[in-house]
Amino acid sequence: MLECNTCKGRYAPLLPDGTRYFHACPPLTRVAVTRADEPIVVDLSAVLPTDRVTVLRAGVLVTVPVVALQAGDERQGDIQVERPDKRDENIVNRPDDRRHGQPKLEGTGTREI
Amino acid sequence: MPADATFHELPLETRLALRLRGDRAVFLTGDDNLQLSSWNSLTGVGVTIAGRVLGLDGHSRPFVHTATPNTDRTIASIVRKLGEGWLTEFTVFVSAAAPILGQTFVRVQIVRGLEAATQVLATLGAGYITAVQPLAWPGCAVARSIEGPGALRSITGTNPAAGVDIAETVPTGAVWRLLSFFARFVADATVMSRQPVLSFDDGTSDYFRTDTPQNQTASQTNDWVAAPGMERLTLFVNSRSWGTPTDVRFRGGHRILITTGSIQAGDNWGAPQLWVEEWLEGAA
Repeated sequence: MLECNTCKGRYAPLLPDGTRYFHACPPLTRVAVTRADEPIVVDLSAVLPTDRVTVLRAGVLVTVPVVALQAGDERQGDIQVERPDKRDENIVNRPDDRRHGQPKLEGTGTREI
Repeated sequence: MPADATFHELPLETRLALRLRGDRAVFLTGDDNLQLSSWNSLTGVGVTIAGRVLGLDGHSRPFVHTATPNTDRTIASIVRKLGEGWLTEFTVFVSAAAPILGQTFVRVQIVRGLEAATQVLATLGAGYITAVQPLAWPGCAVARSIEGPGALRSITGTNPAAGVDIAETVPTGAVWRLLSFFARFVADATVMSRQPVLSFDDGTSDYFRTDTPQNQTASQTNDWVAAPGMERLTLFVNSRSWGTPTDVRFRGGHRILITTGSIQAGDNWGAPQLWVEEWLEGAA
């Protein structure tokens, strides 16, 4: 089993049916927040309890602190972005490309677990 | 068959052998060679081509060549000299490991040259092979690698870290038809509704998207499933389903994604399980 150093996803490089598995990092979720009265977009893991987010609450858009979220709230403004150090083990299959036969993106590598 | 003038100069044994084989034999000059190309997704596979060449002296010369296909679905080719004479038959079969139909595809051609810059003169056969289902010439077809039934595969994807959604990428050189999809989602205790959305993209742009049939609440564990033609609904207390279009084919680089609205840093998707029909694209 391997762990991707970039996304921390875990996978078996060889599947039980004898075929190889080519891992590719999933996108990263970024959240729209208001911090110190400034609208910014931060990684999900960097959201602070004091940040304010806009949610759909009972059909109405309201902006509330993260610590005041309620059951049923639906956060608005999330975006998905590719990781800057994304790993994609799928190979380049273009004979005219100098990277032909190599992984598309090395990312930050993997470690055995 | 050679022209009559040439034909009558051949030894009697050769003429008799050629008469018996009719027009099926292919004449090879000493410069014509045999090229065996393969595409394969399984590890440990060996492919063997065996056949016979009828020499100008009337004697039949058997040949056997073995190749090791790549395991990443890219093309691997060997070129072998057969000498002057008539190629009368060959068979290509799996000689190591046990791929199922859809995992090992071969193509046999006559080429000029032995190195990379070969010139193809004829394509004699192409198709999927297994240990018991060879490609046999004469008589075989030049099949395309994305026709007929593909290999049925159960694939365990990447188990994402907490707070990370699912994205499974179709491998380079593969074509998938999604038969079913399963993933378990554990929401942490943060109060908010989560809205998992299933989408397909070409690596960049969405071409299919379906929203959540029902939100998932805090501290809840649900199984999320999708299958072609399935209704978008809540199946049971802890199971939700998305419907997907029927017979959607994914090319290499396309992705099957789950994007969870209101996802929390402590939420956790398990490794997805996919049941797909797979073909080898055979491109490049």
